[in-house]
Order: sequence, then C-alpha cells, then structure tokens
Amino acid sequence: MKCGDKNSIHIAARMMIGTVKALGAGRFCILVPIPGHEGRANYTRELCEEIGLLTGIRTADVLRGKHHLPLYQAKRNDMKAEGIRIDFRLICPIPKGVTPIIVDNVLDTGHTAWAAIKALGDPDTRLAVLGNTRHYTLNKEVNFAQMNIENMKNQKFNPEEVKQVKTAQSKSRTASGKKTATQNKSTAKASAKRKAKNDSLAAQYAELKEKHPDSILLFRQGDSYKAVNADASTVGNLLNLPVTRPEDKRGGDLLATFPCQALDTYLPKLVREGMRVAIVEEAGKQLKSSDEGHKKGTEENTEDKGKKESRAPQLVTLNGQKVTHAHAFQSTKNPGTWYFTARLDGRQLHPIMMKPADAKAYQNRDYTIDRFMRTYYPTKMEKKVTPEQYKADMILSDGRHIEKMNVFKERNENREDFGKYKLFAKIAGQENGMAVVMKTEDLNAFFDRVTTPAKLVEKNFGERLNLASAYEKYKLPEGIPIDDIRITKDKDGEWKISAKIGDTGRTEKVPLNKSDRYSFFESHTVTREQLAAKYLSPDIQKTLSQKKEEQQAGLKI
Amino acid sequence: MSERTYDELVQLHQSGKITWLQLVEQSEDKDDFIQWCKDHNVKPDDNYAELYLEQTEEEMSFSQGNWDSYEKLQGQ
Repeated sequence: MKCGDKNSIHIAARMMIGTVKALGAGRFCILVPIPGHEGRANYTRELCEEIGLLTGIRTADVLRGKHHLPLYQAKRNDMKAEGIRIDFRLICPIPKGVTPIIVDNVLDTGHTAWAAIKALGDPDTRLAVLGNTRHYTLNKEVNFAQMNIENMKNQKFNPEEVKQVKTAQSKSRTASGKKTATQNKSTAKASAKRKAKNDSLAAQYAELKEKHPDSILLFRQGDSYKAVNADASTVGNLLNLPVTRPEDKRGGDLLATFPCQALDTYLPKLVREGMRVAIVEEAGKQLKSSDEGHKKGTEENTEDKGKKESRAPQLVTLNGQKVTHAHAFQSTKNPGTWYFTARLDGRQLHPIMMKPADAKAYQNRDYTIDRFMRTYYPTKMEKKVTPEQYKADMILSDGRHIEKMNVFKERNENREDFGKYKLFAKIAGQENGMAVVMKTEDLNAFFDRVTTPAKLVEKNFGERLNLASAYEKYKLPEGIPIDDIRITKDKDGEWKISAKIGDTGRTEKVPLNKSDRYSFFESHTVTREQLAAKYLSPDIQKTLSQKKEEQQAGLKI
Repeated sequence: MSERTYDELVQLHQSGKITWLQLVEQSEDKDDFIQWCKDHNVKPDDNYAELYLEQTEEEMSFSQGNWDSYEKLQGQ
C-alpha cells in the first residue's frame, strides 16, 4: 500500500471491516493509525479513514514519532529491527471510555506496534492488522499475550476482493511492452475497435472492463440484465443470485442474470454495498451510465417516440439516484451564457451557469454526463454518509469531542455577513463556540449529507483548534532550496518566522498568529516547513518568478 | 385546514402570516423535511426550514421549465 493508492487502500479497508468490527463490538472506539518511519501516519491514516467510511468509526491521528530508518530497509541490510529505536508520543489524550484500535497493514516483529501501544498507555488497546507474520512471538521485548490482535487470517474473505486489480493503463503497458504511452493509447483504441465488431457478451465485457475497471457492468439483453465473469461473482454474492457457467464461452465464463423490472430493487442494493454500477444497453448501443464519452447527446437515445415509458437513466449515482434529462441550455437574454441542469430521481435540479469551455464542449458534443454532473453538482454525485455515520462522527482527529454543531443564517442586520449561512461549533472544554461563514461547497455538502460534523469542523476550524490535519495543505514548493527556517522572538516580543531561500538570502520576518504559535510550541501539530509554506509563500513565489525571469534572460543571451 | 398550494403558502409567508417552519409543514415536502432533520440530527425549526426550502425551492419552481426567470436568481 502507498499513500494515495486509493484502489489498494479501498481493497485493504474492505478486507479489514470484519476485523475492526470484531475488535470494537460493544465498545465506543477510535481508529489510531500507526506512524511511518517519517514520524507521521500516511497510508495507515488513509486506511483508517477508509475503514471509518465503511464502519462509522472515527480516526484519531494522535501518535507522532521521530524520523527513523524504515524497518524494511534495516532488514534488507541485515540490521536487527530492535536496533532501530522507535518512540511514539501521544499528542492528544484519548477520552475515557473510548477504546483505541491501532491499525497497521502488517504485524511482523512487533516493534512498531509495541511502541504505539506503550504510547497510548491504555490497557484495553487493540490492534487490527491486515497481515500477521507471527514473528512478534519471538520478540522478547513485546508482550502481546494480553493484547487483542485480529488479522485477516481469522476472517473469511472473498478471493475476488484480494485479487490485485490492474488499471487499464497498466494493462496496456503490460500488453505492449516497450511502446510509448501514446502508442499504447492508439493500440488500445484500435484493439477496442476490433473487439467492438464482435458482439459477444464476453467481448463486450472485455472491452468495457478495460475502460471501467472499477465498475460493475450490467448488460441489458432482452428483458434481463446480465453480469459477466468477476462481476457475476460479485453480483451473485451481494444479491444472492445463482451464478452459472454458460456453455458457449462467448457468453463469458460466469453469468448472473435478473429480470429488468428488478433493477429498481437490485441497483440500490449494489450501490449501498459501495459498488459503482454501469448499465450497458443492448449490443450496438452506447453505455448509459459510465465515464465513457457520449459522442451524441444522450437525450437522443432516450427520446420518447410516442410511447409513455419511464426514461432509462443516463447515469446512476453512488447513492442509487437516477440522473435523467441532463442537458445544457442557452440563455435567451444572454446567448453567450449556458446553463447545465438535470433531474435526479425525477426532481429537477436548479440550473448552474457553465464555464465557457464546458459550454463549448457541450456544443461540440465532446462531453460526458458524468463529468458535467461532477463539475456542477458534485455533492449529488458523492456517496452520502449514512445517518448513523453522520451522527457518530462527532470526534475530531485529535480525539476531542464536538459538543455542538449547527448551521444557521445570520439575522443581525448590523453585521457584514448578514443573510449568510454560518457554521457554529463548540468543542468539549471550550468556554465559547466558534462561528464562520460557510462556503457554498460546504453548505451543499452539509445539506446533501456527503460530509460529517467532524469533517466540517476540521475543515473550517482546524487551525483555530490546532489540528495537524489543518496544516497538511501547507507544502513548500519543489525546485527551490528553502532552509534555515527560523522561528525567533523579536525585540518587540513577537514570535516571527523567516527562512533562507536559495541564493537570494533571508526573507522578511513574518509574525505568527496565536493559534499557530500554540500549534508549534505546545501541541506540536505543525512543522517549521508547514509554517514557512503558510507565511512565506509570497516571498517564495516572488523568488521563484525572479529565478524564472533570470533563466529566460540567460537563455535569450 | 384546507390544503393550500405552494404559491399560496409562499404568499402567506411573505405577508408575515406564517413562518418558514409553518410553510414547509403545510407543504407536500413536510415528510421529506422531517426526515432530512432526523438524518442530520437536528430539530425541525425555522432556521433549518428556511435552508431546506432554499435548497429545494429552486428545484421545484424549475420543474415547470421556467429557465429564464432563474437568471434573476443567479448571483454568478
């Protein structure tokens, strides 16, 4: 697993759901990701958050450590793992009554896990791992005898989920060997054209699966929908349908079928299981719901020719809602202005003004419904959080509890933000709450329930609350040497930050605000580099621009 | 109480005779609004009724295909 590798992390998370639920049964738990060798959790944090989405258990990234040699490197160099000192510290105490579940991908020698357990200091700490080599049993320094460890070996899982899924890109690389990326694309296209001439279900499946590896493909044939091969196995398991082996291999190796009228029942079930579903019309017609481009307006395909039938959806969202009537229209008052709109489960969505480039793409028929829906109605396309998950997610990443959160409209006419929707939050231990004007994206996310109270509070008040997560967005630009970052107290008693940028010398000293001072000196939830990125960006950008100009001047000479 | 149309309810609210909460409770979206409040763990009140109507009202009024008047509401 790597940070950002969403596919692997999603698969790992699904494999660990049973483990985590078993450990947390009957308890109020939080997931604690194990820090990596850099001293902070990276992919383990993403893994925890993904598990959290599936189980409703919140993640608390409360462990920090010092940078150390990665244990896998130590092993490669024949160094003993116990020779690598691993110490973690707890940056925020776990509330009483909350059971921490440490999460890691592999339990090997146990050094890292033991350091995490010691730092948490809770005798009820549990450990959830994906794999367990059992080498820790030979480690005399750790005592896991009393520990609750659950791993995948104790859980049953579907081998289909374990199978490494190659992306379409990697598949084409494998197939074409040393060809360049451009050649790969044209090869894949040419190959797809040849396959398209073959109408067999197996051939269609192979062609479309390459383009949509993450989607369950349902093929409409006559009065039924069919899933093929791996999709048939998944659909059969989830919907309790029989899976057969067609005699004719052109129909695939495995097949699961259900009648058309059952789509309204089965489709939401698949979506609730976290599946992305694409419906493929009769052979020869275009994919109705996918990321594939619609070269002709889909309106034409679904146009009612005198018969009163419900329209087949152009797209089905992750929440099982059907998108129909998606189209753009020109303003009669300002012909240069275009609006996009659609119906969601028959309900009209309010039109949104389009960007000129998108309006042009629509007119050139070079667009996809999926792309426009994600651009103009992003929160309708995201997966909703269940009401249970929403109500449960009241704990911040540092373990603090949200006492109260609400959204309200400012009624005080004397205020500048009169009439605007604001987010109010009060955290346990705070005397007074905090309020901030909400951005439209946050208000929509709140209304459509694709976010949770903890996420909203972290996003809007993160720095004020000294949360590490709030500072993650601050990163120094690459390609320019920035060092000797100093945080010093000035003659006037103010703490200020400055840095040396390349050969240009030191920046001006910029004062730190109260929250950031606390984050740096007290809670240790921000690094010098992050503060430099936050405060010194104008100077850094200026230096970068100057450098570029100098380089260009040098080239001209 | 006889059933009123949505437009009538809006007029009553604009004349100050009913609140946002009373408006939505007398509309066909009452059940949907109550469910929305339950799902968001909030009590139905005037504040959330107004938010709910603002988010959904434009959708309702444009089901009749009244696109041009929408431009007046667009603050973009």
